[in-house]
Amino acid sequence: MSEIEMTGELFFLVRQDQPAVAPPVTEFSADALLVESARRGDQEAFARLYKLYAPMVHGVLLARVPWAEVDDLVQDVFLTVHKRLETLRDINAFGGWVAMIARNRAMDFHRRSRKTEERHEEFAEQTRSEANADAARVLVVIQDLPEAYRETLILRLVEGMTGPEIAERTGLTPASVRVNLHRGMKLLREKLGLEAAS
Amino acid sequence: MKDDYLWDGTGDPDPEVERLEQMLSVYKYQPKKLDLPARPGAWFSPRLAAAAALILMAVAGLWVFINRDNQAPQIVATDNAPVDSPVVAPDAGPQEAPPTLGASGPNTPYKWSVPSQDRNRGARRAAKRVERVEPDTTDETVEGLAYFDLETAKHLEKAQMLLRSFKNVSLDSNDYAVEASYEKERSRTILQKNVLLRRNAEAKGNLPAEELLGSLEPLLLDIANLPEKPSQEEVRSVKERIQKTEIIATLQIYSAPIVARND
Repeated sequence: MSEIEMTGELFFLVRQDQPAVAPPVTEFSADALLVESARRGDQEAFARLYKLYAPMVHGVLLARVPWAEVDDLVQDVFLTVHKRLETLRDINAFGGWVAMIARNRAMDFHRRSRKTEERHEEFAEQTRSEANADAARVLVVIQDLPEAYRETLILRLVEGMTGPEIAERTGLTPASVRVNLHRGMKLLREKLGLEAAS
Repeated sequence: MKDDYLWDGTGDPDPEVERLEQMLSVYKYQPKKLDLPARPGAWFSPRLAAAAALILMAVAGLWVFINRDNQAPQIVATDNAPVDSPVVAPDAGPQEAPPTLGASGPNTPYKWSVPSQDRNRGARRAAKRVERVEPDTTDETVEGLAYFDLETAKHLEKAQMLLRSFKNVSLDSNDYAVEASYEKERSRTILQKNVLLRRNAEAKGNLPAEELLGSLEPLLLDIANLPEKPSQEEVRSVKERIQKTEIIATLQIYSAPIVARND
C-alpha cells in the first residue's frame, strides 16, 4: 500500500498506522500533455504551446508595457519559459505560470527603464502615431485601470478571447474573470464617458 | 443579456463592446516565429543513461544468477553463522538423511548434512564447513527487483501489454489513417498513473524505479498525443522508437517475477 498520499503537487507523508487514502487520479488536460512532451525536448510540442499561449502573453504584457515593446517581450517570455520549463512542478498550472512570468517580465521592464521616463513618453507617442488615435486613447485608458481589470479587458477586447478562454489560459477562476470583466467594463465606460449598459 | 456577450460572445451583442473590439483590434497579437535555442539533453540525458546502466546491471545480475546454479560454491561457515545458514560437512562419508533446517520455513533452499562424530555435539556446533545443496530459486531476489513494489510492477505489466498491442497495430491496409484509438486512450490512462508513480518514486528517492518510469513516459506521451486518426508514418515512427529502446523486454523483466510471486 502506498505510503504517500498525493494531493495535487504536494506530497504528505502518511504514517503506516494511519488509514491510507487512495491517491486521487490527476486529470491531465491536452495542454498538460503538450507541456510534458515539451519538457522532454519535443520542440514541436513547445511550438504548439507557443501558438496557444502567445496571445495571452501578448495581452498580459500589453496591459502593462508600451505596445511597441510588447512583441520583443513576448519572445523574451517564451525564451524564459523554454529555459525554465523543467522547474514547473504542476504541468496543469502551465497557463498561470506563464502569465506570472509575463507579469514579472513587465515589472522587470519598468524597473530597468525607471531612470529614463522620457522613453515612456516616446513609446506612448509612437503608439499613438502608429495606430489609430482613438484606439491609442482607449488603450491608454485601459492601461490606467487597476491591474486585474486591465489585463482581463485587454485579453477580451484586444486579443478576442472569451471569458472561459481567459480563465483557462491564465489559470484564474472563471468567476474571477467574470467579475473583473464586468467591473472593468463598467469602469472603462465611466472613464470614456460612455453610457453604462443596462 | 449584454453581459453574456462580454463574457463569452453569446447573447445580444453589446454595441459598445463591439465597437471597442473593432477599434482595439489593431493591437491584437500577430503570430511571429519563435527562434529557440536547442535544449541540451533533449534525448540523451543523464536519466536515460542511468536507465541504460540499470538495465545492463539487471542483465548482468541475471547472468550471474543463472551461472551460480551450476557452480555449487563452497562456503566456510563460522560459529556465529545465522541459524538458517546452509551447511554440509566436508567429509564425503556416507550421509544419512539430512535434517532440514526447519526454522526458515518450507522454502528453505538448503539441507544439513553432518558427519556422524560431530552430530553428537549438536548439528550447529559441529558443522564448520558448508556446501550449498539444491538452491531454491523462488526466494532469490533478482538484482533490481527490490526497487519495485507490486503496484508499480502491475503498472509496468500494463504498460508492457499496451506497448505490445501498439506494436501489433496493423499498417498493412491501404487506408491513410490508422485505427489506434484504443491504444491512445489506454496510453492516456497509463500515463497518468505513470506520472504519479514516477513522482512517488522520486519522493522516496527510489532512483531505479524513477528512471525506468521516466524512460517509459515519452513513449506513452507519444501514443497519447497521436491525432485521432494518425497516419501510418506517425504510428510507424512510434513503433520504431519502442523497438529501438527495447523497453518491452525491460518492463517484462521487472514486472513478471513480482506479479507472479504475488498472484
